[in-house]
Amino acid sequence: MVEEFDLSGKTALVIGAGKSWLEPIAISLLEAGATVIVINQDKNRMPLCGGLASTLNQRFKGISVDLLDYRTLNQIAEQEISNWGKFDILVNSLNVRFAKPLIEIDYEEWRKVIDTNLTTIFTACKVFGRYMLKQKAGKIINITTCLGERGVPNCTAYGAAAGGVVQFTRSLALEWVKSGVTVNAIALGWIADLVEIPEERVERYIPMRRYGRPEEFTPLAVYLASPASNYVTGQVYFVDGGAMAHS
Amino acid sequence: MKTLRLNDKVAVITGGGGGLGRAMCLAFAQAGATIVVSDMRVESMNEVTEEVTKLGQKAMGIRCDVTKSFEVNQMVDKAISEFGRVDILVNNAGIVREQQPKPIWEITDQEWHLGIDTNLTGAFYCSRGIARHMIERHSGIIINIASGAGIRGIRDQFMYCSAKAGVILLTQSLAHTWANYGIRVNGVAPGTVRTFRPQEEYQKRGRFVPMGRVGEPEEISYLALYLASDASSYITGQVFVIDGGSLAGGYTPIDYAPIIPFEE
Repeated sequence: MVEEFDLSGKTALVIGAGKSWLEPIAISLLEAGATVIVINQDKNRMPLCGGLASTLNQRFKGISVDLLDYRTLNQIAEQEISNWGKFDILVNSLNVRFAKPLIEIDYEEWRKVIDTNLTTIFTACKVFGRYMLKQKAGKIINITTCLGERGVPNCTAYGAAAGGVVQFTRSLALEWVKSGVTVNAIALGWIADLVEIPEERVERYIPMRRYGRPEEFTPLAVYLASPASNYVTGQVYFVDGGAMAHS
Repeated sequence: MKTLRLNDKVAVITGGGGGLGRAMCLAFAQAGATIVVSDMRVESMNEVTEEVTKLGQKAMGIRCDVTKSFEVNQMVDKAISEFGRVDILVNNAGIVREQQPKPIWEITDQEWHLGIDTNLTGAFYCSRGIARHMIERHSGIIINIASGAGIRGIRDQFMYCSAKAGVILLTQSLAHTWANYGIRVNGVAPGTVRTFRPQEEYQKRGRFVPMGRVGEPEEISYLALYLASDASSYITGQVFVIDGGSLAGGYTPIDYAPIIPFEE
């Protein structure tokens, strides 16, 4: 591996409520040499990377907590910083998909969608970014989707959260640009196992005419987490089989 | 990460003798690729070719003016006959911005065509030149070096901005057309990159970049390497910006950070 892409000795936090996006990211960061701490919402959906970590001679830790519980997260941060000394990488992720006609979305649902998908990212950046500011170094990567840039019917709430992540990323990148912390986003298209659209639409809407695989976006997370990307900040990179180039 | 390797791949890098071209030649070589260094500046082309060879990789310099289609076709043929195939084409050749700004009515037809030809037509000629080869092999990667100037306008940079914007849409159209032929076409859009200008100029330019500095050629080369490798196998039609935060903002001065309290 070109050494700029190496994550040996780095501590990475991977945060989110879903399972599918956390696991491949955790695995690729482990493989690149990082120590990985996954913080998720549901104990039963925690990725099991312990075995992999020990074969790679890396460290892995899973913590389950309410991702909106600012106080508990702060306690975790204090505890983990004393364990590992520093937080080099923070990966946040959109969490819970949701689509419904606007008229039928009630306020509680709207709040829940925005909270689990956008507010959790705000919270994690606040809690863990504080340490990165002190260190004057850090790599924040927010996982969002193409819905953050393209409209889809019934995706008002989820799309607003996804678009919120995009603008959140750009603003925070500039806010922290002088502190050595980079903030970028990965926007995913149709990734297998994580989404389903009818087959004929694959043909029509994805120039590559196939779903992506998780291992096709995780290397981008490694790049954005590594020193190789030190001049990249405030950017949203799409992994979508050509979908965004489609008119 | 093994997917970031370019072992046994043959890469043609146009403008390979320039600052950014050289960095990409070296990064790709370090990742295991055979490099065809193409440039019209023979001296720097030969220097880079030698540097690649010193890294233990095969390399060949081929002189080529990308604005001349017969030279482009010859260059492609020569690369294929020497190494058997071309896996990666980086359309990097171009001229960096018009040096002396002048009123638009003083720009000659010739100057316009030179700006468009080097930065846009060259990428088209090279992509056309390699197309059959890549389509027949059902495999290939094209990386176009665009620019932030192809996304937002810059004062007095008519040819440069127009050509680079063209490169971005050329990228998308090619990607779309060939997505089903195993060919990926992507772009890299750097902000200002430190190459051959006086250091003071880069220092001055850096002050208008949120990160406070211009980019280094090596930093751009890592992104190109990623896009050239199998690590990016599901990415096509994208133009990735690498600019120290410039395009994330640009809406207000870089030090503008207001505080407005929430009022109920």
